[in-house]
Amino acid sequence: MKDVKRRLERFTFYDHTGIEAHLEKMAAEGWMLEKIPYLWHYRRCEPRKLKFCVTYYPRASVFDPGPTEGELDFHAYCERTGWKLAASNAQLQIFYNEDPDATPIETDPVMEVDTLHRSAKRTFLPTYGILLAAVLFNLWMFVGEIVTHPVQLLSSPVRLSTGVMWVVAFLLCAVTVGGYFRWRRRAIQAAERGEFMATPNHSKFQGVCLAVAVLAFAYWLFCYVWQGDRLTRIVFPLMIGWSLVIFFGTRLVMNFLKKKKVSKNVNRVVTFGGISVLSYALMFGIILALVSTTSRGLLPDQGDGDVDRYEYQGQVWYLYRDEIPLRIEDMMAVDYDDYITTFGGDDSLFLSRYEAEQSPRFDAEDFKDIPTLDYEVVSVKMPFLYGWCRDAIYRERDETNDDRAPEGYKALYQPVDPAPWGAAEAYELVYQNADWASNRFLLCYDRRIVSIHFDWTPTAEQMAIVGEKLGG
Amino acid sequence: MPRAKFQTLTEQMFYVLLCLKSERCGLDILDEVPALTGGRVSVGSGTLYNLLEQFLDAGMIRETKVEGRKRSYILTEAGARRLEEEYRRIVAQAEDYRRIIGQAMDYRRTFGEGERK
Repeated sequence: MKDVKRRLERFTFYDHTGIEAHLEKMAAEGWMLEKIPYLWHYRRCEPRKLKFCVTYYPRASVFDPGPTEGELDFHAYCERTGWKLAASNAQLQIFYNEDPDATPIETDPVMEVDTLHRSAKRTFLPTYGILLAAVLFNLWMFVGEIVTHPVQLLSSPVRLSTGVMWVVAFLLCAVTVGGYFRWRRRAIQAAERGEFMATPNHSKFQGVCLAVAVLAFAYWLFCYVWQGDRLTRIVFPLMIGWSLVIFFGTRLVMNFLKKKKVSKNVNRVVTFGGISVLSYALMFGIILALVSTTSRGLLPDQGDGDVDRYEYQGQVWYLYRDEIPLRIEDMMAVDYDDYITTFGGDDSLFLSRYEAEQSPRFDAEDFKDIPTLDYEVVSVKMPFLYGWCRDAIYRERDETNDDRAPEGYKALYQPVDPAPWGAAEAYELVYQNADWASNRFLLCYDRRIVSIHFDWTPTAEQMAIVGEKLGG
Repeated sequence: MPRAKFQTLTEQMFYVLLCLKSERCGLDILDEVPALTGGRVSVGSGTLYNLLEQFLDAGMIRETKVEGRKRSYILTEAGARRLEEEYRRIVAQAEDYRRIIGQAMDYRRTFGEGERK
């Protein structure tokens, strides 16, 4: 039978009534708190009816080499009334008392709210403030991407699951910080009446958030690493390693300096300074190693397995031979048989999207005379997204509302006859005042949107083949 | 609206200051206040610790000696003045009470409850 239990407790810093009730329940079940934070350690004991009190010592710091004189004085005051220290972490101090009628540590509600707020201002609020700023910045980027590039985002499970994680992080921060200020406002009003206000418990909400975040992360991991290319599979463990080195390195340096009885200010500066330098140095090293490996052709940046390479103008190029749904040879005879074909895309619950390209090698003879083809096909799985996606793809190239493009030189989509393509709508990109055709078309089928570019003008027969192969 | 600090002393503040009329170890105040009030008022250890810090910062008490974990304090002039102001406020409240409630009681004693219209 195990004598030590470690639990990941989901209490917010200020939820002292929740923590007290929980610890009293644990003690009644025969588990006494020994150590916080991170995983809370409990040691098996005789089931006891104990009274717990969570209080705050605002001047304590996580960088303190040990309890300060003031903190020891505070402990002495608590001991005098029978309160024994169970565990502490910086400002958070947890005491227990065997006397069920013991005078509480806090007997003045105004003082309690004030002490808690002074403690919260030192770590809890700044930490959540920084986290909230980072989360809001990323959410803003995410929303911006939904507006500007909805097709790329909605088809990417990696970006969607990242977005879910940012939304969850935002909700967690907002509920935690908002909950604190709501509690504080009500606690101040109650204190004016001489009453104490119980703190809100968000552990169920945190549990749901944690579960959603874990699922989103697992999905992200599956899509990003499992289905990712070789470069991703190398970068991901490196980034995980980097994060672990920073996380454990910070604690290692901080705890080492604490053991050496270095003052909290020196500890803070050395820990943050050292870890900043280490994180930048490691990141620089990782990027340098990846760039060097990739530029020497040791690591294909796309695809799996061994890919043939060739050199052209001092650079290494890859000879991808991906299967693509529509080839130039499907539409006409070509006197060239060494095409490079690439195929890549994403598939989510909302959209599937792929891009395909067929082009000659750079070192091919008459390179410019060999036809090329590229296209993007978006399959919309949820009908209500169709119009939004079509408009987004339309706006990617149409410059009607783009003030950066001068009038008279804009690229505009103009409706063309969709019948040869077998489509419902068809548009051709036309450059104002140009005497040449772009040969880029936007084709709208029942559930699919195709953007295709030829470097020749397609015939009606070729258009029909496009409709048959891609319009599906 | 929150009250200005120490504008009105709470019962606990009042008795802590009262205990420090003569030099006393902070820890002893924890026993002194219930003894002084017949157990009607108790001060929690955390509340007392923070109160002493705030009284020190406000110059209402000063530290006199430190012996291990025992720190002794005594009321300053400012603290004594504040305590007296609080006493006068409480006395004024008691006089107001006696004037209003006391008069009514005297009236009832003289004329009886039913005579009053």
